[in-house]
Amino acid sequence: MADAGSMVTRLCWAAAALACSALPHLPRMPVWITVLTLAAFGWRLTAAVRRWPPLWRWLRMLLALIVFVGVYATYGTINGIEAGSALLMVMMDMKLLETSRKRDFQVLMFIAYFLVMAQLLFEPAMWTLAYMAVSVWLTTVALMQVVREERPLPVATATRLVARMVGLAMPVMLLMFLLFPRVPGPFWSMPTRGGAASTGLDDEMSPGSINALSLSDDVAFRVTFEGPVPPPRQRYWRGPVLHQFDGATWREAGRMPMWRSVTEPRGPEIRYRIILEPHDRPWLLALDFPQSWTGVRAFMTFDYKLVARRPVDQLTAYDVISYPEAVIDPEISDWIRSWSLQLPEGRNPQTVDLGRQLRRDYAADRDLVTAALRRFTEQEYVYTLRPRALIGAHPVDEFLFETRRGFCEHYASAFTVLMRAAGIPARVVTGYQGGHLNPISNRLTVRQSDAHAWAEVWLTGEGWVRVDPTAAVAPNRIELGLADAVPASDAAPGSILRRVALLQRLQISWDAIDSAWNEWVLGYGPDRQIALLRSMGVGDPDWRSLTAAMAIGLGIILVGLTAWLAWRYRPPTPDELLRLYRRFTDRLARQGVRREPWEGPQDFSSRAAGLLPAHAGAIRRITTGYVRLRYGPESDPRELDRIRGLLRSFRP
Amino acid sequence: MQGKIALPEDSAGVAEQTRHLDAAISALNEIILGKTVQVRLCVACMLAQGHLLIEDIPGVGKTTLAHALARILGLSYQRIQFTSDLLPADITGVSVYDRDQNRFRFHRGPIFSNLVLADEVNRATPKTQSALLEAMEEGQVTADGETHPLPQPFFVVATQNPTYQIGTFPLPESQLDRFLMRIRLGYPGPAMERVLLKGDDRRAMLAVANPAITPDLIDRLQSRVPGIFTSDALLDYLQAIVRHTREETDYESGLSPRAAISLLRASQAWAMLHHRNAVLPEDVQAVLPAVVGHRLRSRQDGSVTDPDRVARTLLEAVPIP
Repeated sequence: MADAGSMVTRLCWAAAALACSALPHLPRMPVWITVLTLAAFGWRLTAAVRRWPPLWRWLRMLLALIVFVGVYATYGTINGIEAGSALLMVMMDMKLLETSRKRDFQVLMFIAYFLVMAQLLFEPAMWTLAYMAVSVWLTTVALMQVVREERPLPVATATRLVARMVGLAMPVMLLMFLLFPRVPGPFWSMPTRGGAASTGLDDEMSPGSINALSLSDDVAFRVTFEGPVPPPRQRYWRGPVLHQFDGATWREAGRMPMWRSVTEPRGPEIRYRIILEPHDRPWLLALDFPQSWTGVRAFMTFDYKLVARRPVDQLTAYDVISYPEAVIDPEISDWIRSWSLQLPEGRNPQTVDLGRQLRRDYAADRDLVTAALRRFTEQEYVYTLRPRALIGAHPVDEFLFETRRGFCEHYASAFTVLMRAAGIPARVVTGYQGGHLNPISNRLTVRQSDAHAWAEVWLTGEGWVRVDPTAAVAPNRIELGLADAVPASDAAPGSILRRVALLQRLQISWDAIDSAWNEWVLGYGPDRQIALLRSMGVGDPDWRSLTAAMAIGLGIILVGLTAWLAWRYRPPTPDELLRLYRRFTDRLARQGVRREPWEGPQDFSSRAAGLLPAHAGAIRRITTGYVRLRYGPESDPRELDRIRGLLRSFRP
Repeated sequence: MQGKIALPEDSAGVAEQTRHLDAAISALNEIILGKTVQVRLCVACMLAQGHLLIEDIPGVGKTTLAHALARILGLSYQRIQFTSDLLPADITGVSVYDRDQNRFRFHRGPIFSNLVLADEVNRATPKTQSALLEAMEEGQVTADGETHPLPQPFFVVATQNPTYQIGTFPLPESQLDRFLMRIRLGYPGPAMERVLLKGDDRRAMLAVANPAITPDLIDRLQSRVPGIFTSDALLDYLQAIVRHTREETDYESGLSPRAAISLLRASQAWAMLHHRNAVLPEDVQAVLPAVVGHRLRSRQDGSVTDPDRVARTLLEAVPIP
């Protein structure tokens, strides 16, 4: 490590690996860490080129203390994954400043591995894995280069070596992934991302809030049905149920007691499994009306919403049985009735008047509901992604009588207000509607753009009945999805994609891969592990049997690998060497450079190298290898591989 | 072409020692102009503990070569001019009665030197020749029942005029076998001859030349020669050559086992000169003309033919296995 040139080469390798591992972290971190990192890289490389002495020890100590305090000041803690990875990053910068010996380089490369792993805590998606694979490869190559005493390996050789190393490690990794004992509970879950915003439904709704979601193509959840997939018009995924209205915004019934409902099974059942993306809120989505659920600790509120014990901050899978024809709440208590008739004083007077007018015209609740819906179909109402902004104090009036252009939340909100004014208990239900069925995986993908709002009215003898005013205005929204329901001028997500068949097929395939990744890799928890072992005939696997199985498996893999390597690197048989050499001379003979039978290998090599100067290097190297093995005292088994490798690319 | 087989790490000392050999060879080449191959063969012959026969017409530098060898290799040197009246005792030494001590005392002859130049060995009678050859073979001189060991290293360079000159007793084939190598010097090339004509007197240069190596080191190098690695593949090749001379009808008689050993030793010495720790087929080929030229007789003309041509024919007849 003495000369400056090799130091610069080593540093460049290390810097490349570190940059690759650190890059995805930088956007998350405060700017000063990025600046510090660039400065540390710049100083160290310049120092190596200019042969500056290392920084004074006390200065390095002081710097380390400053950045430590800096991290603490920025995050208010040094715990958690945000602050922890920031700390890792600044410590990497500090280590870089003093890196000169082999051991320092090793430490640096291990920091790079840690940074790669930390990335997985933030974004456990598949593209992250692909990027990680590149980072790990680069870091391993760099690690190999920086600890070498001799000059660095050619990149192609190093790449091949690392590929082989990773390949050999792969079975061990797979086995440990499958068998490492997993314990249910928070121990395995990721630390929560404090305050990190994620898209999804809110527990309140005002004009434009769902509209905003409609632009997001993020996946909300995926569903696998046990039986046939229900048609789109039955696919109402129930989320927060909103009772409280202040004239513009709908909110959940905040002070409602924790009273739980029970769905009485009626009609056909639908069994399905939902894999829910984390949204940092406690509610779970389910088809109307969930009767039982497993796989997650949750309860059902009085308005038939599933709520988990903890916010959904990681990918969560659960199984639900729903009865779409169930009758819920044939009787309601007075306080639910009063909650469901609540209207703010003096807001939206025109709408309230219209509701009272309807009441006067229709005695039967059923007829009243139909009449209200008819208003949306018979008059000029437009379903659009770009409704005009409602800025007045009476947004419902404004929508219903003036703009007449709205998204689902406008219709649901207006309809519910109408019903309440007419004296029919009503509420807004938010959630998702529809979803896209992937023909490859036969799995339903529901995206944020499928977010929807509809209404529920309580009718005597029938209980709560779902009424979707949007379906009256734009039936296509329910049957076909958002992109087909809005006018072509409105850009809905995926609308361009949907028109190009190939792109669409690609999207479908990617979706299938992504959901398989979610289910089988990220969602591989204790229950799946146990199920897998059961299917392999292990009766009741506990952590002891898992550990034993893992140890035995590892033993088998290691013994197998050792045997294979021993076979691979066995001393070469002379026949094989001669065969390789003959192949070499045959190839040269085809170029007119024929070896005389009595011609010594070195004489032939220099003659051939003279005749084919372009291949002189390869000819010499192959000959040297051959001569060493055939006439030399020590037989290095790798030499034969080297010859084989050289010969593979030797095409004179 | 330099062999690129690295010496094993534990023989770093050998690498150091062979560097001295390089120095010696380049010093020799400064004196003996344009004869690099012959000079190398001479040194290889000495390393293999063999003896050298130089056969050529007078005046091409045979004596100068021998003298230069002794000088540069730092060996004690004796020249014995062979004549028809030279007696064996003139070579080995005589026992003289010492009257004071009342007994015979052995007076060592000129053969008690590291390097003995036996000049024009074919001018002496066969009896005298035999005395020399016996000493060469046994490394010792026996006189009056007493054995006197010759100094180590011991290296005989014999010169011989081509047989057609008058008044000579050419060495019989059986005696030729005692020499590890026979080389010819030949005329120098025109360019080299010009340098020779313009340059200093070679003898004057010899007088001021410094040894590049010590007898002690030569001794150590000699003992290392048999340790140069020979793989089975190489021995296959060497045996194939020997077998060929025995089985083919072109030769009056094949190579003897002694010739085979000589070929091996010479090849090992040649490999050592090229800083290799293993013998290659090329080493065998390089020393083959000098080692077998005087041992093989072509059946066609019945005479000892041009060694290069004999060796060439032999080489091209035996494929390297």
